[in-house]
Order: sequence, then C-alpha cells, then structure tokens
Amino acid sequence: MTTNVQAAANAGSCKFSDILADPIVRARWEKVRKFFFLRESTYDMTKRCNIRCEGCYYFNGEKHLATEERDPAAWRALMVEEKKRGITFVVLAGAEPSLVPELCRVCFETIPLGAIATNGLKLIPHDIDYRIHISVWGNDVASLAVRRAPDMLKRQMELYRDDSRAIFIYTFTPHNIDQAAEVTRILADNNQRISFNMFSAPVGYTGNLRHNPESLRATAQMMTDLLAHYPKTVLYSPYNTTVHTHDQGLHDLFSCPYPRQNSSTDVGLGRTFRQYRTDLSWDRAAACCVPDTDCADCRHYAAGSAVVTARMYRHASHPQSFIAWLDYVDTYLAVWVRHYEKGANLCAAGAPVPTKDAA
Amino acid sequence: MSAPKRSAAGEICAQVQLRVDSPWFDGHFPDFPVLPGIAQVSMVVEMVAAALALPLYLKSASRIKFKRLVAPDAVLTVHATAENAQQGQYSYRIREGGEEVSSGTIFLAHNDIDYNMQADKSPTTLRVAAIIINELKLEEVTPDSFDPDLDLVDEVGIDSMDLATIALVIRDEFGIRIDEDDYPKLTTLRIIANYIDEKKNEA
Repeated sequence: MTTNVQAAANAGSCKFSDILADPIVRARWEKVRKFFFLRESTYDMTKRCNIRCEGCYYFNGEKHLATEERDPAAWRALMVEEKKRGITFVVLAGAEPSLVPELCRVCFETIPLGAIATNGLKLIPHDIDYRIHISVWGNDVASLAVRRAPDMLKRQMELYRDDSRAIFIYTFTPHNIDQAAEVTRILADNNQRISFNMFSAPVGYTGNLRHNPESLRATAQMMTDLLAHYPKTVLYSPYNTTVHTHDQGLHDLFSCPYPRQNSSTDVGLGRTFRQYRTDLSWDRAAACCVPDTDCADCRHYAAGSAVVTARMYRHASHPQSFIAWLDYVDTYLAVWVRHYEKGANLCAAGAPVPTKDAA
Repeated sequence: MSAPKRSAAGEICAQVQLRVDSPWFDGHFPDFPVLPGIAQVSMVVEMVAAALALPLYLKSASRIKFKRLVAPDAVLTVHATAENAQQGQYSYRIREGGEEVSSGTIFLAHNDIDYNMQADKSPTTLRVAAIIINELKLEEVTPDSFDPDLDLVDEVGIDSMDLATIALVIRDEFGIRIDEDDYPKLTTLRIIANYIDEKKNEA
C-alpha cells in the first residue's frame, strides 16, 4: 500500500483514484475488470439424478415437478435467445447435468463461457469446455451417509484426473468440518483444486445440517488453516472466509441483488438474471442462483460470487475493503471461468464487511 | 383527456378516454387498431403542458417501454412526475386498469428556454462526458458530440459494475457523496450531470 493510500486509510476513507495509485492494486483491478461483461443465468438441465443427497436444493420446492424438455433443438433455441438478450455466462445445474451431455453441448456451442455443477460420478465429455464444479460433502464415509453413494471422492478423482476443467467444491456442514483437512490433503496429493461452499438450508428445512454460530467459527478456522497450508490447492481468500462464515447471511450483509429479492429491472442481475427450470420456463419471484434456499441462511458460494461482487461500490471507500474485494472477485473468477488464473491474495488479513453507508 | 390534476408531491395526473374514430388509429393497423406508442408519449406532453399552462414540446425521450397493446376503447390514466423541472425532465407511467401500459422519461422544452442546450454546454456535462468516454473506452465520440440522452444501459449495453465504476470516478472528481441506491439510476449523461449539480447545490 502506498504512503498516500495508507494515510487516507488511516483517516478512515479514501478516494478511489488513491486506492488505484498502488500499481499492484491497479493491476489486479484491471485484471478483474475485464470480466465485467459476464452476465449469468442458470438452467436446470434434467429432473434426474443418479444419487439423492440430504438437503439437496433441487428436490426442494416445485422445480422438480416441471416437465423435462429433452429436445436439443429447443435448448439451442433457448440459448440463441439468451445470447440475444445479453447472457454471456451460463451455469448448468440441477438435477444432474452429466446425465444430459447432449444438452450441455448445445449450451456450450452457443454460449462458450459457463460452469456445470455436478456430483462428479459421470464424466462430462471433454469437448464441453466449461468449468466443472464437483460437489464434495465430506470424506467418503460421510458421503456414503449423506449422499448414499460409496467411494465418491475416489471415483470423482479417477474420472477427472488431470482435467483442468475440474474444481472440487467442498460444502461445509456442521458435521464435516474436520474432514475438510483430509479431503484437501487427498486433492492436493492428486494435483486437484478445491474451493469451499457453505450448506445453506432450503426453505422449510428441519434437518441438522443448518449452521450455527459454533460451526461457523469452526469452519472459518478450518478454511483459514487450509488456505495457509495449501495455497496452490485451495482457491479462496481470507475475505471469502469472513463473508461466508459471518453470523449474518449474504442477503442480510449485502442485500441480495437477484430478482427473488430485488424488484428493480433497471440494471444488473435484477434486469438480466433468470433461473430456468427443466421445462425452459422461469419465474421471476423464484429467480436466484440457488432457488428455494432460505435467504436468511444463504451463505452459498454461487450466491456470494454474484452478491459480493455486485457490491463493489461499498467496498471502494477504504483500501483494505477494496483489496479484500479484489481478492474475492479474483477467487470467484478463478473458480467459475475457464482459463482464468487466480493471483496471490493481496489482503492476507482480510477485512471487515463494509456496511451500505460505507459508500 | 380530463383536466390534469397536480398533487402536493408534484405528480400530474389525468384520465384519457380513447375514441375509436381518433386519427391515431388510422392505418395503425387496418384490421387491428392499436394505439401507437408515439400517441402515448404525446398524451403525456399534452397533459404536462396543460397542467403548467406552457407551450411545451418534446425535446427527447429515454428508457421508453411499451408493455401492453392499447385498444380503441381503453380508458387510460396518465401520471407524470418532475424529476428535474428546471431541465424539463419528467418520468411518466400510463396505466389501463391496474396494468402498466408504458413508462419512460421525457425531456420537454418550449421556445423561450432551451433547457437541453444549456445543459449540453455546462462544464459539468462536458467533464462527465469525458469520464464516461474514458471509463467505457467509447470510440468515435467526443465530449462535445456526446448525446446527453444516450442510455448507457439500454443503448451502450453496460452493466451495474460499469455504472459503479463511473460513480466512483465522479465521486472523486466532484467531491460529492453518491448513495449506493443512487448510482444504478445514473444511466444517461444528462441524468448524471443533473445529479452532480443538485448534490453540489445541496452542499
């Protein structure tokens, strides 16, 4: 941090131009800024899944009651229309996209930037060059209990060995925090990469996977330790940890801009984001990246990627906040966008979450 | 059109009973009469001019959205609110029953006062134009030639992150506070320049 920026920071606020006067900060800003063109929407690809996990967002609510459009021509037509209305990034999820590779391929051929959320038990063909997020919910003993599938991590790693598309997404629940060390070590030994998610309860969920203050603190400590021990394996930043293990959920911290919580259609996610069901319909009232999540409990990694990123403005009044935000966005882009390489975290100490008034 | 009413909050409102023999429907369309969009904008201009008793004309418009077809027997309610009366800027909404028919922003002028030309020449406007051109890397446009009503979202295609960046640079340059809820509304050069001037006047 330059002397001027530090002095301004000590005074409690700072001009944006002062923050960018630091050449390292400026370079990172220019790096992430190139991706401001990304406009996302998400798509449930099929009603089917080859496993059934406790707390799965897809089988909550009414999404899984929709009929299933299996015609690649219909999906191609949808993608063409999506591209026309400005969508540049697609997230293919629900229930299990690997079961319909022909539909994923149509999406990739039309909109070449995107990510697929999969359980990783069936290989997605290599010509579908999206980022692939492979979900992990603990070690294989825990996965067998919660997901009812044996040897999950072993099978996932075999299928996606040396596959640069793959990033393993470890979902922390109150019951698998310690197992993250074992899983991360195994992934590091196998030259894989990992990022973190937080279990976020669906609306009406009454199970025991919902986080509590104690589990949030323990998860934060585990994330911090793993990031320190495996900096090349773990795609995360101290500020990610702060935001996603905060006592308040993302909506309370940042006022979620997804249509489900945002009535404005003027600009941003409220204007362009849609969440399509398998029948290719969408419902503005339910539109967010993980529909049917209890917004008060939402700490989902996908939500944060949009919600925190969108609140750039309130982070830009203080150098530490802005640099922490840059780390967060750099992480989000590395996790979601193929061929984007994460830089070293610039703000090792993290930063407090700025309030709306900070802007 | 009924006589326009003005509320204490500054909103102007009138009711319009359409007539099937209105010339607006001639040829629009031969077997399917629908009220043209320009007729709806014209109603707003007529209503504001009547309410203010001024010979106003439409100088420009932005973010106009037509959301429903209007049949010849419709009864419409027209609402307009001065966003910046000195600049002749009004937002409007037209409803049929409970449904919104169209909405947008219009800029009005009359022969004695050309508000737009005044704004176009202000130092604030020119500086903001330079900032937008620089931040968005716009080509083939200069601060002098920048259309003050070019909609940065609808017509240039920028998103909220770019708007936030512009707001931060403006905040630095003009030393004003811009609320987080405000910057997403700063979508044209004219709106931004007016916002800055108002903020500076408040200081």
